[in-house]
Amino acid sequence: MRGYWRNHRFWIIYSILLAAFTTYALLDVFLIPHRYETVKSIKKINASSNSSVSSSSDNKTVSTKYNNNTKYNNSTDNNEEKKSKVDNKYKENTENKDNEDKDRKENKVSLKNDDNNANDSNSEYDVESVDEDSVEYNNINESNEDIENTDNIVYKDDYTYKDANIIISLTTYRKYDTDIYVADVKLSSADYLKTALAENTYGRNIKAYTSVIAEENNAILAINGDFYGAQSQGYVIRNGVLYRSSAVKGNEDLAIYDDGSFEIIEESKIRAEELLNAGTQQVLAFGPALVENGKISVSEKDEVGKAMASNPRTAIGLIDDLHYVFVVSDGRSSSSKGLSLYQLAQFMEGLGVKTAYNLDGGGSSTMYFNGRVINNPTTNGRTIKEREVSDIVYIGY
Amino acid sequence: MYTSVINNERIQALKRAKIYIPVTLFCMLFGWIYEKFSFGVYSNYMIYAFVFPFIGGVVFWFLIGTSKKKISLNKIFIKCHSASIATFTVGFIFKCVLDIYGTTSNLCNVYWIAGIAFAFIAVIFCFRK
Repeated sequence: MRGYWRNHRFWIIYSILLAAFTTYALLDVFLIPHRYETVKSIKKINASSNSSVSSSSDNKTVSTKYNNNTKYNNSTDNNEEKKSKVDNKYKENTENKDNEDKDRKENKVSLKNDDNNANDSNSEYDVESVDEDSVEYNNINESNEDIENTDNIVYKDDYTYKDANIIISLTTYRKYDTDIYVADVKLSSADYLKTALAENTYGRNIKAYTSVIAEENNAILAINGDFYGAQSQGYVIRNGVLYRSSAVKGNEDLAIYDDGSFEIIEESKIRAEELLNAGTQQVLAFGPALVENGKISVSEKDEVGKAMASNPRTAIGLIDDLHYVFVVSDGRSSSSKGLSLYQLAQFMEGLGVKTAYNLDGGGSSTMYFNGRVINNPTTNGRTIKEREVSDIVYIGY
Repeated sequence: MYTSVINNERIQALKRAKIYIPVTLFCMLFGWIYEKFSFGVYSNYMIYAFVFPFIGGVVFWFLIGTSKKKISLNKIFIKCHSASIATFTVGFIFKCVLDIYGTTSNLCNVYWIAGIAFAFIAVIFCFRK
């Protein structure tokens, strides 16, 4: 025994060390939550003046290029009446906002044409460290007051949500042997397009189900976000707050501005502070961009990382001013094969989007609408179960 | 006497080569099974994890064991060489798990640094008596 120890002690000790370190590393990556003590927060001093709202004058609907398998519930006369009231109220709101914001829209900072402004960006920030619990996610009560003031009438069923500011209609398509869920969203203001973090906390391994985060934030519609918590680098801007500014070469992000417009940006070409200065409310860093300027921007060979197979997918697209589509596909199951990136891009193009961006997919792909999960989220293809994620993109007050 | 020492070293080298065969097979099997259940997501680290035990272990010790020249290797070299292979192999498997999950970690660097350090020490002690 003593002889064995003498001959093998180096290996015994080193094996124990290697196993212990690997166990710790795996726990650190996948389980141990890292709540960052302070959050780097850069708030714009003139945030309110930049929050322009553009019109939704063109009521363009989702293209009917695909076979629509969804059967809407039979509406009663009362429902029809309620629906038309909501429609009228929505039109009123969009028209009013349209007039109010025309001037503001003209003043929107253009990233591409305003290099000087970007260079002087630091002068416009109030840089501070704040406790994460106090950051930005507590404006729901204020918004609820708005609803009451505007005499908001809400109509909703399993496939529709309508009120004075938000219209959402849900449609299921069958394409590429896959069920694809499309939420067509029209807003009177970009303020209703938001993101939320799991447990309202920025950090690594802080996760919750999409439906749980959605319920906590009173979301009407929600999809999983970019799972920023799985990465240690890359921009994270949420609801106008900068959380992470370390750029990753080659990262192609979706910037959502305060007027609700989308732009695909490259982290190596623009600093996070410049984006914030230009009025960026959200930066989603997953990618790649699926459609840009109405044209497919991925090839059949492109994939996320090394994912070469069809998978569940999540994407967000902009059709027109304040007119969006949230898209989630099933996959990895006998009933739904899943989509390749190119198929998703083709589908998004078919919906008539100008800009579309791929979000975290696979087991993370989840769509929540009117209090229930719409799709069949699965990681292994056998069990239908949501996966916990770091963040969501949602529509709500 | 001289011949028996050479034979003993050769036998030891071939014995070490044999030890690395199941390690190599394990790495290949691990990569194959992981790929089967990862829905087409793969990582180059997973595919090439077997290279270290195969080249550094099986091939290296087989060449030493079948060499006609007398090659006497230092004990520290043998230990550091093996530790380096083990560290790189585990590092590659760890990195492949992260890749397939779609995440990153600075802790990966620990494997690379430790692996290179062991390899460096092994080279220094390579032909020392």
